[in-house]
Amino acid sequence: MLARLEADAALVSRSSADIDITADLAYIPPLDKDKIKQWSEGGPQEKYNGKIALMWNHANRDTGKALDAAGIKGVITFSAQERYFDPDQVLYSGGMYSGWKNLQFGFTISWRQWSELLEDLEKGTPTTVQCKTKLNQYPDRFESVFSSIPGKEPDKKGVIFTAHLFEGYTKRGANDDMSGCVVQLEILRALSKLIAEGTLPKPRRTIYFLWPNEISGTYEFIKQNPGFPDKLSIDINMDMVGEALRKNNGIFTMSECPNHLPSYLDGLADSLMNYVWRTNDIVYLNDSPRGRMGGQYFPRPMWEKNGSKDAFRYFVHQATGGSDHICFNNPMVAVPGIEFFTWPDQWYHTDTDTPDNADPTEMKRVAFIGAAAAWAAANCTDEMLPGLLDAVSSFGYARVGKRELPAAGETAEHRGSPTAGSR
Amino acid sequence: MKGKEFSLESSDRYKKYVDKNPDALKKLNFDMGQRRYVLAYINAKRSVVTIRNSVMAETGRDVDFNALVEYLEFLKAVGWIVY
Repeated sequence: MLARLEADAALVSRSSADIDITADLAYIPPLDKDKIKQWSEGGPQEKYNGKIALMWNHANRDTGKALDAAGIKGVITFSAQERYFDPDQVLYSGGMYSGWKNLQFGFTISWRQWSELLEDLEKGTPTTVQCKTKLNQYPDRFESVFSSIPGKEPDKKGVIFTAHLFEGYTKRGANDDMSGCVVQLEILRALSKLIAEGTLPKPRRTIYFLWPNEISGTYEFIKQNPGFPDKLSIDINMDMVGEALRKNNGIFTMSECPNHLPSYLDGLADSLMNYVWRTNDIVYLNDSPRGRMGGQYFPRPMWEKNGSKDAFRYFVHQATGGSDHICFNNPMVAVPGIEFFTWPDQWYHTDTDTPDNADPTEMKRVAFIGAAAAWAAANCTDEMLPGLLDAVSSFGYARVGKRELPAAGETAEHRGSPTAGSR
Repeated sequence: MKGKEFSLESSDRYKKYVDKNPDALKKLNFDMGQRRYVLAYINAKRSVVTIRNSVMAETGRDVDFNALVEYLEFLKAVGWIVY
């Protein structure tokens, strides 16, 4: 066996057919426009007819036509987020494999598997592959998990946590986004326990938890529950929050509420992340809490058993889309929402998005930040207000200085010039 | 339509109106980006001037007041907003 697709059904390209084909493998370099035209018009080619092609990419509409005309049965290619960082990962991908006479399937393998096959072919080793697929279709339906911690003021606007259990198609997703769901499950468990034992009072406002199919499931939930957005003041979305930062070469990020839905939530969340950073990194500032003498210790480490000792570093940026918070930021729903996220993610949408890339320490920190933000939002009292105003105003001034003033200056500078509006 | 429909361009009412009035979109002096921000800032509380200023701040480009009013008329005719 030269290459194996393991047990991950999603490594078969979308639109492939049910097949069981044994054929010789032939390397086909990328086809340029002229070659595509020549092959498409040329009919079956003796060199390739009935073979399976080892290629750099899946077939698209044009290359598919050319390969089909040449008599190619299928394509084996590789796809990776970063083939040198992790040569064994396979990024979910697809090509056009329906509607052709000969071309029936596409397989995606890892860079390592693919390059070893190429080496064999380049050496002139005759290589025969057996490709089998068994495809099944199942009706899709929207299923969501919904829970809440009831507040003392059930008719007033509450807080909602969101994270997606799946994304509408078959793929692995320990980080994307089981991590968001389990961190929120831990928040739900911890707060419920503290309330039940009397350590915390019942919150003033209800804290909701929604774990659906990403975006489409959230919209469906909102549609099926008329008036539900009116019960909400903010959304805290978590997507891919479990990844070990150093192992992943990533940074924890927060997407702000959009400008059309300004909210105190940005400043509140930023202040909590800032706290975790200042106590879980060696911050070289005069007013920073310092570690103990004789070492680079974190002042107040927030670690988890079996977790990393990574420093916590984060970045806040203007509102972006791509996850469930956009459903709430949509002006037709109009609930200001932030997203906690990790980027880059070296295993994003690959078959190696598995629990071993997660970090219990990171998840603990995210759970703390999320729980504290929701608790403050659900319990805001006169005593809390001065601190909250401080956090919000510091965040606002910093944002205006860093981002809004330079943008306004640039607009003013370009007004009337041919490049006006280029920002 | 708040909480029931989520995308103007995907809505039946929009498709029907544009099918019936194929020139309506061409007459608008607004690109997609500007239109998106106008829709974002409409909240039944902000004035037309505030919406105009907000769209200018978001895009860094001037917004013609009359063009904005025409777009609001278009949205009203589609049935997306009422005033």
